Parts: sequence; structure tokens; C-alpha cells
Amino acid sequence: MPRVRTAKKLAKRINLQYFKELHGFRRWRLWLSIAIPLLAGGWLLAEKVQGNRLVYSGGPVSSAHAVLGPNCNLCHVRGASYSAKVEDKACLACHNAPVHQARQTFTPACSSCHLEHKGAVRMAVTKDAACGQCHSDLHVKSGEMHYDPHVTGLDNKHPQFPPLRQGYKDPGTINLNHHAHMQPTVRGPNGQVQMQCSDCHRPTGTNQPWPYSLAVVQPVSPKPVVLPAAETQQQNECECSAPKFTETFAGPYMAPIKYVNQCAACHTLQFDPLIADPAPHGDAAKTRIFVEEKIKQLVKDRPELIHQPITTGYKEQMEATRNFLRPTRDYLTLPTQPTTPQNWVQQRIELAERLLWKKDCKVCHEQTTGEPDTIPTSVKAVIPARWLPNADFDHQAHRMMTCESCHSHISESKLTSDVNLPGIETCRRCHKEQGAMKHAAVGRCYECHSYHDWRKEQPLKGKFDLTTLTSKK
Amino acid sequence: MLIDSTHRPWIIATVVALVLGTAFYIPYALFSLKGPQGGSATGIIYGSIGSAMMLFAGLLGVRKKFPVVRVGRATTWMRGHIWLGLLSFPYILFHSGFSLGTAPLTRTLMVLFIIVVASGIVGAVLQECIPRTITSRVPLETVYEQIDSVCKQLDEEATTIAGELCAALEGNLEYANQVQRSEAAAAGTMGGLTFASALNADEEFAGTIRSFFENEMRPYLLQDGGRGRVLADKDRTSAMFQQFRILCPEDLWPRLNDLENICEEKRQLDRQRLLHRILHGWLLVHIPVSYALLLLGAVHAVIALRY
Repeated sequence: MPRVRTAKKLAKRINLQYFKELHGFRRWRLWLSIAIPLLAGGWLLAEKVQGNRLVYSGGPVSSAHAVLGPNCNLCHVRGASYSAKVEDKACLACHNAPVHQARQTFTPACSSCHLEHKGAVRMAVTKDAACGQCHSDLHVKSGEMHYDPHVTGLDNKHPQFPPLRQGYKDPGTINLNHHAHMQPTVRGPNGQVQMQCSDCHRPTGTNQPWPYSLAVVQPVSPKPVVLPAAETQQQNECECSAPKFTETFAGPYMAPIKYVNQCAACHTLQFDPLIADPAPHGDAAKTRIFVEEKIKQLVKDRPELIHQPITTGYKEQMEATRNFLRPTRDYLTLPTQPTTPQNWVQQRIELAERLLWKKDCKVCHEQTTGEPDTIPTSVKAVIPARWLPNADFDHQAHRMMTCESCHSHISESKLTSDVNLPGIETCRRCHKEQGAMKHAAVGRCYECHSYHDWRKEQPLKGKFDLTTLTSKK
Repeated sequence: MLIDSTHRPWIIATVVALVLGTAFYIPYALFSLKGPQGGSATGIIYGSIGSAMMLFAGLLGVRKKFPVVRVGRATTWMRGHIWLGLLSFPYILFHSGFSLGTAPLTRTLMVLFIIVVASGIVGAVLQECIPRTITSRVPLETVYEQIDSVCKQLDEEATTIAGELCAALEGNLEYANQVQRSEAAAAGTMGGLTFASALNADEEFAGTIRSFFENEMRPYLLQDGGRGRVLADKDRTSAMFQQFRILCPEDLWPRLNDLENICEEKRQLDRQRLLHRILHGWLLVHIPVSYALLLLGAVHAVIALRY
């Protein structure tokens, strides 16, 4: 009989109770369904036993807070409710961050701008939207608002810098013609020179002597210190103490323009061709005393001079300044010929002072003329150290660029009142809000602006000890 | 077919929910102060919706445990499981801001979630294709859990048939027909020579069959799968039995055919076993990892809402 597969025959093969026992496949599924969740739970339990709560962390904390990492409770203080979200007081325990503006209508929570648990990022790097909370539609509590009320970013509605707006002039009181200084015919201390921007403008801390000062470098120091000789000469009373002006590293802003550093070598205050020492710069009364003493000393050393013309020694200087705007010879005319030694000295002093006050000082300084016998007063020198007090700029970070690429009109600037600050359109050429995504430099608010006015930061008394910081609670 | 036209309402609802979720997410991601974060109000809403979908998908297992409880039809639960489970993935990504997690727990959750969703998708595809393959390629399909038992029965059946075949080949009258029996009765010796038996007795071939059965066929029938066995190959098996038929008297061919059929049935059962493992193997990943995901997800929710 051939083999026949009838339904009945096939049905008889099946054990009708088969489903009551777990087959291997279903057994595996059951055991895995128990084992894997148990494994997951066991992992959390093991972390709990070890006191490691980082497993629940929202992400690694910033580098600055890494030391607090395992100790969540330092920041996540649990109050009366279940929630233990970080409140401002937790931040203020370590950071006495001053408010932005006294007249601001809204103070955001620290954690709304500074995002923690994002890894080793700088927490000061905030989103533009954080600033835009207020500055997209700015209001103040009271008084007049001096800022553009609708700014949301560098690319979008950021106003032109205030000094470049219409009607604004450089408030500087020192006469300076950039155009003239950039000419190849400028006379330096040792002949003609082609001045470079960096001869006078350098970030603070640049560790090189100024070419137009009498600076010397002290090579023995591990960190070379530049001591402007003229300045130390000017501040004789401080010579015994540590140098007041030390430069060790480059800073963000340009070093302040000082006569002793940038001007002294060319614009000498030599008041008498027979006296090598220049007059001190600064206090006019001290200058007068210095001049008198030096001329009296000159006559004392060389008594034969009183028998010579009062303009003795001025010949070379007259020739040298022949083509100047203020040639020396214009200031040498005297009403009388000296008759006595005292009269010679007096007239020689008058001659020196006339050259100083009327010729040398006026090259740079506006002067107020008082009584004939009184010392003329120079208008107080004003050179803006920072043009944008509400923004930060780092020249050092831009050192790879030529000065003229941003200060494009500097070689044509002839007036002190010219504002040679680059405009925001110059910044926008490199800086864009999307930054690296647009193959550009970062152009976000924090790059130039700081929310907190750290000048108003108050001293803080620490409250943590080492045990608290390093424990894993 | 797992996914058919009855799924259309679910597919439409899923697409609409996805579009809505995306439409809310884009402005949220672009304009929120801190960017998309799980801890923000919107992030928590997305997380809650996604978790609810995951939970519903997970309840399918509970529903299967209690088939008699009338809480919706099983097919409805399965459709909800597929589509809500699938939809939970983008919602959880919206919740996390498309971050795969930076902390150990959140990263583990995302890894588990990806495994669950991926295995689920693989499973859905397999459920769509494999059953049709089984129908077409395994006509002798049986209950998967009974395959081992059926194979033993096949072995017993084959043992009987092979025994009968060998007995017939060895001249056992019990397996001879009427003509053979009459011829056998007239058989004798003539001139010292013995005439060939009318029963076509062939002890040598019977030994060959017995050896084949003991060394090839039985082990094949009793082993799980056909690895290393000639009989696992249909063509070689067919050729082998064709050889046997040449050597075997024609009246015994039906028994050879039976043995060949048994081999074919075993091959199909092996194929069914393989396809079944493929069809359900993903569940060994999908279900246990889903439970772990739900457990860790619950812990994550409790902890995250606190901090």
C-alpha cells in the first residue's frame, strides 16, 4: 500500500496539548524578556550602589563645572516640591554676576541663556535668541532709551556703530594728521622714514620697544619687560619703585598713545640747541623750572656765552626747520639785546619758552593763551581709548590682517576729527551669524557683547569646602 | 498579508500625526531660546506623546496574554502596535531634538529604541513576505512546535517501510503478490542449478537499502535540519532513489516512492523550521529589548522631570 497523507492521519500526528508547554523558541523569548530588563535594572541599581548619578545626567557638564560633576546637589537643590531644577541662587552662590542694565525690564534666569550639560563648551557662548528676548523689542523701565530697540543679530538690523553715525566727530584734542605721518618724506630721528601703523599702534603688551621712543629692553628678565626710558625719566620720583609700566603679553586693545612712547623721538622738546636734555613733557610748571635750571647751569658752566649773541647755537636748528610750518627763525626775534648776564639768561629762557609754548607744544596741542607772562595752558589731551564701550574687540585676534584692510581710509585722513573706526559692514564681511556653517567667523552677539557688567562684580565669599565639592551626594 | 488595505486609516492617521508633529517642531527648533530640548515644555509634550505611543505598543503583549478579554480586536491592537510604534520614533526624536543622547541613560535609551524600532520594521517586513513563502514552498507545513515530534513519526513510518522493503527484497512471501506466489511454488532446481526466485529476492540490494536507511536516512530524519546530509538536497535525493529503482523490482517501487516522499516531507519541515526562525527570530530581540526600554524609559521620565 502506498503511503497516503490524509487530513485525519496528519491531525493524529499533532499533540493537541502542545501549547501547554513552552517550546524552545518561546522559552528563549520568555527568559530573554526577563533577563534583559533585569540586566537594565541591575545596571541602574549598580550605579546607585556606587553613588554614581551621572548615569541620569542630561549630558556632560562644562569644563568649568566639571569638578562639580558628580555632586548634582550642589546645583540641583531640591526645594519643597519634587523638582530639583537649577535656580539662579545656585549660580549666584559662585558667580556674583552683575545685572545687565539697571533699567532693564526683564531679567532672564541664568539657565535660560547659559546652557549646562552640553559638554565642554564655554557657557558664556549664548544664543542670539537669548539677547533677542529683550533687544528684539527693547523697553526700559524709565527714562530715555539710547539704544536701537530692534536688534536681533549682526546680520539682522544691527545698527551702525555710534561713532560712525552722521554728525559724530573724533573728540580727540591732539592734532594728528595720519596722512602726513604715512608719507615717505617724514623726517625721523635719524633721517627720512616710512612709518608703519604698528610704529605707533600696537596691542597692549606687545613686547617690543617703540621705534620712536627711547625704550630699552631688559634681556635678563624671563619675561622681557619694556621700560620706556623717557617715562621713567619723566617720573623721577618713582624710579626707586618697581616699573609702573610693564608689558608682558599682547592684549585686545591698542596701547594708549603716549608722547614718550610714540612721539618723543621725532617731536623732541629740545628747548635750547646748547642743552642736550629735552624738556620734560606734561606739567608746564615743572617744564619751566627745568628750563630755567638748565639755562642757569649752562651759563654757569660756560660763562663766555653771555658775551655772544642771544641766538647762539640756533643756526643749525633754523636751517633744519626752514621748510616747517613753524620754522624756528620765526620765534627768535627779541626786542632788546642782553646787557647783563642776568638779562642774557632771562632772555635765553624767554627764547626757549617761546619755542616750547608757541612752536613745539602747538604742533600737537591746542592752547589757551592767558596773560603774557603766564604759562599757556594746553587743552587736556583726549584720545579715546575705546570707541565702543558697550562692545569688546580684540586686535590680537585680528593680527593676521593688514591694518588698512579694515581702517581703509586711514592714509587719507588729515584731520583729528576724522573717525577712522571701521564700520559694521566691514565686520560683516567676515563675521556672520551662522559662523562656520557659512565658512565665516562667528557673528553671534556674545562675540562682541557681554551681558554682565563685570566691572560691577562684588566680592564673593565662598561657601563650599573640599569635602563638599568632591563628595558624591 | 500583514499590511493590507485595512491599514489605510492607520496609515493616513500616522502620516497626519507625523506632519503635525513636524509642523510644530520646525518653529520650535528654530525659535526656542535653548533649542529643542527634552526638558522644555514642548520637549516634554513630545516625549509624553511618544512614550504613550510606546506604552500602547507595549500593551500588545499584555493583550495577547489575555486573549479572552474583549478590549478591542486583536487585529486592531496589532495595527495600533505597528503604526503607533512607528510614529513614536519621530516623536521621541522631536523630544530629544534629534540628539542620540549625551548621558549614559539617555544614550542607552536611544540605542534600545533604535533596536526596537529597527527590529520591529524588520519583523513587519518578514511578516509580510515569509508567510507567503511558507505557503508556496512548504505545502506539507505542520505546527512548528510539533516538527520534532512529526520527524520522529516520520522516522517510525520510514523504519516500517524500509523494513517491509528489505523483507520483500529478501523473499518474504508475505510481501509477494499472487503471480509471484504461484511462480515461487513452481520454482526448484534443474541440473544442480537453482533458478532465480520468482519473488525476485535480492539480498544484496536489501543490504544496500538497509545500510542506506540506517546510515543516511534515519540520521537525516532525526537531526535538526539537513546540514551535511545528501538527502537535504532534493536533486541528489531524486537521483539516488532513481538508482534504487533501477536495482529494485518494479512492484517494490511504491515503497521506494514512500521513502522518497518522507525525505521530501522532512526537507519541507526543515525549510519550515528555518523560515519560522526567520519569521519569529526578530522577536527574541524586539520583545525583551522593548521591556528594557519601557523600564528605563520610566526611570528616565521620573528622573528627568525632577532635574
